[in-house]
Amino acid sequence: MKTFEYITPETIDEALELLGEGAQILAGGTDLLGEMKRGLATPKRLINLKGIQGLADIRSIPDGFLTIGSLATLSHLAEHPLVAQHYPLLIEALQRTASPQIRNIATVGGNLCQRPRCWYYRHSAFPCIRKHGEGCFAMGGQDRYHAIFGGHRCFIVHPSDLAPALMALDAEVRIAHADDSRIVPLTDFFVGPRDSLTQENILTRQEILTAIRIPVPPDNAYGTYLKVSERKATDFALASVAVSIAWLDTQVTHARVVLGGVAPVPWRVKQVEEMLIGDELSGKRIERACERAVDDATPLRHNRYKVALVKGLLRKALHAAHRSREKGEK
Amino acid sequence: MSEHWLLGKRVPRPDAIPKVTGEAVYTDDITFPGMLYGAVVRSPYACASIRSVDTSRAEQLPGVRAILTPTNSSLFSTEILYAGQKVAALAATDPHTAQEAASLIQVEYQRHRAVFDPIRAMSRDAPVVRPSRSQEFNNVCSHQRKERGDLETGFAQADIIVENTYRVGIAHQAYMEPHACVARFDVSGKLTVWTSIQGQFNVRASLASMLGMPVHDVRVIAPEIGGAFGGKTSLIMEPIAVVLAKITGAPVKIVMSRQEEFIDAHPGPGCIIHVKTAARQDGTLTAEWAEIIYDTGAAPGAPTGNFDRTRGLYRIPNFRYDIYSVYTHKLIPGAYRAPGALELTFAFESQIDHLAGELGQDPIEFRLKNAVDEGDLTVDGKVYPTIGLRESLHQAREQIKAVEHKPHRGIGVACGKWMNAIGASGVILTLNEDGSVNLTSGAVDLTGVNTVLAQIVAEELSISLDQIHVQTRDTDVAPYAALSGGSRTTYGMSLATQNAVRQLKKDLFEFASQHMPVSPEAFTVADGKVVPRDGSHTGIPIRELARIAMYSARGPLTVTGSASDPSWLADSYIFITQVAEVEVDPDTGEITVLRVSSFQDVGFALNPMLVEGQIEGGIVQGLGWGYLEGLVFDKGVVLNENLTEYKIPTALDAPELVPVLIEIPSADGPYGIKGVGEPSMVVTPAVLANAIHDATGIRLTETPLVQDDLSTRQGPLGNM
Amino acid sequence: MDAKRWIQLTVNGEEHEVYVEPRRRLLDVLREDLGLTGTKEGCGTGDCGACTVILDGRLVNACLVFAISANGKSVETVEGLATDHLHPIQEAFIQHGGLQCGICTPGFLMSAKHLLNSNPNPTLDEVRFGLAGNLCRCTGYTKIYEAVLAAAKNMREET
Repeated sequence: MKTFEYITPETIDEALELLGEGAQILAGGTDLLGEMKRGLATPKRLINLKGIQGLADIRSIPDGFLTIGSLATLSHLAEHPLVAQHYPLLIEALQRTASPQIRNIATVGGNLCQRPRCWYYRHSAFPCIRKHGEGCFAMGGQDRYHAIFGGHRCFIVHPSDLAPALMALDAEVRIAHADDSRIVPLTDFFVGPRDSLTQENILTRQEILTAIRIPVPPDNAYGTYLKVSERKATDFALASVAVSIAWLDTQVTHARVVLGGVAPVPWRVKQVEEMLIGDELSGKRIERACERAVDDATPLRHNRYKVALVKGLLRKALHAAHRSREKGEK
Repeated sequence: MSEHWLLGKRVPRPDAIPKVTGEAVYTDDITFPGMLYGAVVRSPYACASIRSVDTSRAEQLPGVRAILTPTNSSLFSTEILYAGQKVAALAATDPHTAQEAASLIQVEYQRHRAVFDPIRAMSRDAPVVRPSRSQEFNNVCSHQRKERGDLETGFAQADIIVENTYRVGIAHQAYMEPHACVARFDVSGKLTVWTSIQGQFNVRASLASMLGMPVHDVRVIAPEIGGAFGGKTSLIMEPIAVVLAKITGAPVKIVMSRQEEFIDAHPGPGCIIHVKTAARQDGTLTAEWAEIIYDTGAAPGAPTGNFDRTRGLYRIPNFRYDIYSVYTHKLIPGAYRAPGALELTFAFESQIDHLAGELGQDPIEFRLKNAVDEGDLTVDGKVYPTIGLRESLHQAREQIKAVEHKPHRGIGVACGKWMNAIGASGVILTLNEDGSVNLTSGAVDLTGVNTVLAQIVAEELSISLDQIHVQTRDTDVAPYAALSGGSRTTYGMSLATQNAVRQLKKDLFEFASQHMPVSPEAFTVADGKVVPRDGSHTGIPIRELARIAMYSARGPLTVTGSASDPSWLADSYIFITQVAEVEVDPDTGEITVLRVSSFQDVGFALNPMLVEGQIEGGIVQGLGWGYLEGLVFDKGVVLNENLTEYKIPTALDAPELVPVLIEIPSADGPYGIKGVGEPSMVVTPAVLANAIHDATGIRLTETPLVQDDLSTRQGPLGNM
Repeated sequence: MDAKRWIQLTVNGEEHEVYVEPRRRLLDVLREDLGLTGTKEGCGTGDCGACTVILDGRLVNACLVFAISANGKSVETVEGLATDHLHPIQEAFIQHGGLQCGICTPGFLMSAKHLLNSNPNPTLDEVRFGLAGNLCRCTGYTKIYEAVLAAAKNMREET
C-alpha cells in the first residue's frame, strides 16, 4: 500500500472541501483497505469521517422518519431499540451480513457505497471496462456469481444485504455537497451499467452520503430478508430477497419486493409488487408472482441457478408473510 | 486397554498453555534488529518468456537493500510455466516498502500458448509444458498401471455396469498461518533458518546442498507451526530469504501473503476419474476399470503413488487402473492430508453407491457383501491382517437404524482406507537430578505428538505427567526425524520413545541393583520408585537414583531411542466408514449438512481427546474440499485468491460431528496404535455426495458439491 | 511527505505512545511496535479473524483498522486475558482440546470473551453465530464450542 495523507475533519463542510482529485472518504474502511492493498484504489489523501459529530447518530425525528447517520456501524444499527421495534427486516439483513468483527467497523454508508465484488474487477490482471479498460471478462468466463438482471456490457451484482432491505422500506438518502444537501430515494441512488460503467451510485466526487432516512412502515407490515449463500456465514448472497407486505383485512395494500445478489443494483421488482396489491396472498398468486419475478431474467452460462433461487426465496418469503397475517403478527 | 493408567486418557496438551496466552512463538513473531523484509514479484501470465526486467525504479525507493532477478540469480528462470511463478525478489527495511518496491519492478513478457485442462493437455496438439513420459499422449508426467485378472471376462460376467466421470477440484490446505521464514548468517558464516515447516531436517539438507555448505553449518529451527496438513513439506521461500540474507548481511524475513498462498503454494491436486464398475445381480462385484488423471500443474508434484495405500476395500477379481499425472500451465500441487486419496475415494465410493442403488440394495449391505477381510489381498497383492472395515460398517449400520426419518432429509454412507508411514524417528531421553525427565525430539509437533510422548514416558516410568518435559528442538540439538505428516508422527515417535524409555529403565535397573540386593531383571517401577517385583525391598525413588547416578561413577542417565522402517509405510491398515445426514430446503433447495459420524479404526487411542480432534478437523476439511472449496481459474490465473472467495467452512458450516473410535490393534505399532492424522478427510466428499443423492435423487460428480448441486439441480433442472 | 504522527493507545490497560505512518494497521503496531505478537495475521483482509482484538469494547479485525484510526482508544488483546491465573476461557480451551496448532486461538479467545460479556448463557447456536467471524482449520470447531460453553458455565458459577 502506498503512503497517504490522513485527515480527520470536524464537520461535513470541512470534509467536502477536502474532496478532490486523489482524495477518498474513509468510513469504516472494511472495503477500502482491501482495495488499497490490491492497488485498486490509490488515494493520496484519506478523509476520515469518523471524527464528525453526529454523523453516526440514529434517531427518530418528529416527521415520523428514522434517521440513520451514514457513519453508524452495522452493529449499532442492529442493536438500536428503534430498529428492533419498527424494522425487524433490517435486523434480519444485518445478521446475514459479514461477521461480528466486520459489522462492528463497517458503516451503513460504506455498505451502500461498497465497490463490486466481481473477481475480475478486484484482480489486477484483468483490465475490464469498469477499471477504464475494455470488455467484461465474466462474459464467456467465470460468470457463476454474476448478474441475471440488468447487465449491460458489465455483469456485476450489488453485494449488499442492507441495500435491498432498506429499499423495501422506502428508504431515502441525504447527500451533502458544498453548502447544501439533497434527499434522493434509495431507488434512484444506485446506478446500473446502462447509465455508467464506472460508478455504482449517483455520488459525484464532490458529494458525501450523510444519512439514510426510513419512513415508519405501514400498520401491520410484515417484512423479511432471506438469503442463500454457499457458506452459512460471511458469504455474499447468491441471491436474496427483501419483502415488505401490509394488509387491510385479507387484501394486500402495500408490497415491496427487492432482490439482492442478482443485478448490478438492488433489483426492485415493481411488476411483482403490482401483481400482489389488491388481492389475497394465495398460493396460486404467490406462484405467479415468483414466475413474474424472473420472466425477464437473462442468465449467463453458469448462473442460471439464480433464477431458481430467486423463485424459491420469493416463494418462501411470501408464504411466511401469509402465515404471519394468519397469526395476526406484525 | 484398562491396564494403562495414563495411556488412553484424555490429557490436555501442555503446549496449549503458551498458545492460549499468546506467548507461543510462530515464525512471523520472530524479529531481529536490522532485520529486512522480503517481497516477491510474480508472473501474471501462465506461459511466457521474460524479455527484460527493469529494477531501476525499485532501486531508487529508500529502504530497498537488494534485488534478485533472473539476470543475477539462478533462483529465477526466464521461462514461466504458471501464473504466479516467482520472477524476482527483493529485501527492504520494512514490509510496506518491500511491497511497494515489488510493484515498481517492471517485467516485459512474451506470452506463449498455454494449456490448463489435463485432458486437453494430453492431446497430441496441446502446447508442451514439459516433455512427456508417454509415447501416446503429450504432457504425461507419470503413468502407473495396476491390474489383476481379466477385465473382459469380469465385465462379461456382470449383470450391471455403471460408468461415470468424476472431477475433483484443486483445494488449498488453507492452514491459518501462511508460510513464513527468517534467514540469518552469523559472523562465522553459519546459517540459521527459522521456518514454518513440517520437516526441519529436509530443509537443512536442501539448503546445505544449495549453498554447498556442510550440513552442520546450517541450523534449521521450526518454531510453533500454525497448521500444515501436508502443505509445508518442501522449501518455498527459504532459498530466497537465504540468498537475500547472504547478500545483504542482514537477517531477512519473508512471509507469504494469503493471496500468494493461493497462487503459488502446493495445494491438493485436481483429478479426473473415468470409472466403470460391474456387478452381478446378487451384488457381487466382478470388475472395475478406471483411468485416473491427476493434474500436476507445471512440474511433478501430484501424489500418484498412494493407490494401494487408499484402495483395496472390496474383493474385485478383475481390475485395471491406469493412474496418470499430467502437466498443465498451473501451480504445482503437493500433499494434502492423505495425498491423492480423497480424489479416488470420492469417485470409487460414489460408484459403489450408484451400483447399490441400481441394484436396489442397501448401501451398507452391498459394501459388506464385498468388503475385504483378513486374508484377502490388497491391490498390490499383500495379505490383509485383522482389519476394521466390517466392524466400522456394522457400527455405522447400528447408528443409521437409530436415525429418525424426517422429510427432506437424506443419509449417505461411504468408506475409506489409509495406511500410516513410520519414517525415521529419534529421541533423546535424559533423567534430571530431581527425577524429572527431558525428552528431546526433532519432529515438528503437528498433532499433539509431544503430549502423547510425555504420556508414554510417564506411564512407562510410573511417574507423574508434570515431571516430563518434551521439547521439539532444532537440527543442531535434536536427533534426526523424518518430516511430520503421513500420519506417522505419533506412530514413529512413539516407537522411538518406547525404545528409549525401555532402555532407560534397563539402565536404571542396572544401577539400582548396585543399591539394592536385587538383580536387574527382578525390578519394576511403581509410584515413581524402582521396586523389586516380589516386594522384598521397599524400593528407591527414581528421583533418588537419578541424583546419586549423576554424581557417581555411573554418570547422568541419558539414552537415545530410534525407530524406522525401510519401506516408509507401516503395515497398519486404517479403515473408516462415515455416515452423513443432510437436509434440503424445500423452497430454495439449499443443503444443510446436519451431522457426520465417523467410525474409524485407530488401533489404540493413546489420547482420545487428541484423536477426536484429528478426526473432527479432518471431517470438516473433507467437507471443505468436497462441498465448498476449489481454486477457480481463468487463463491459468487464480480468481479466488483470498479467504472471501475461497470458501473454507466457518463455524456455521461445521455440522454436528460424532467421532467413534474403533480399536483393532496394529501388529507392530506401539501399544497397537494406528495413524490418525490423515484418514478422516478422505471419505467426507463421497459421503456427502451419497447423502445428497439420497435426499434429492441427483448424483453429483464434481467438487465443490455445492456448486455442482446448483448447476445440476437448480440450473438446467430449473424448477425448485 | 512525512506523514508519520504520534498516536496514543491504551493496550491491556497500559498507555503507549507510538509514532506511525498512516498506512500501518493496528495489527502492525501491536505486533511490531509493542511486541505483542499474540494477535496473528492470517489473511490481512478481515476474513479469518486471527487478528481479532477488542477495540473500545467492540470486537474488530485489527488488520482492517488503520492505527491512526485507533488513536485515543483502548485495545484488549490475548496477552491481557490472564491475570495472576489463566482466564476461565483459556482454561476451558486447554481442558476441552479447543485448540491444536493454536494460531487461530487468540482470535477465538477474544471473540469468546466478547460473546460471554454480553451473553453469559449462550445456546450452541448463539456460540456458533458469535464465532462466525473466526476461522479454524484444525479442530472442526466442535471442541471450540464445548470449551466456550464450559467456560460460560464456569464463569456463571463463579459469580
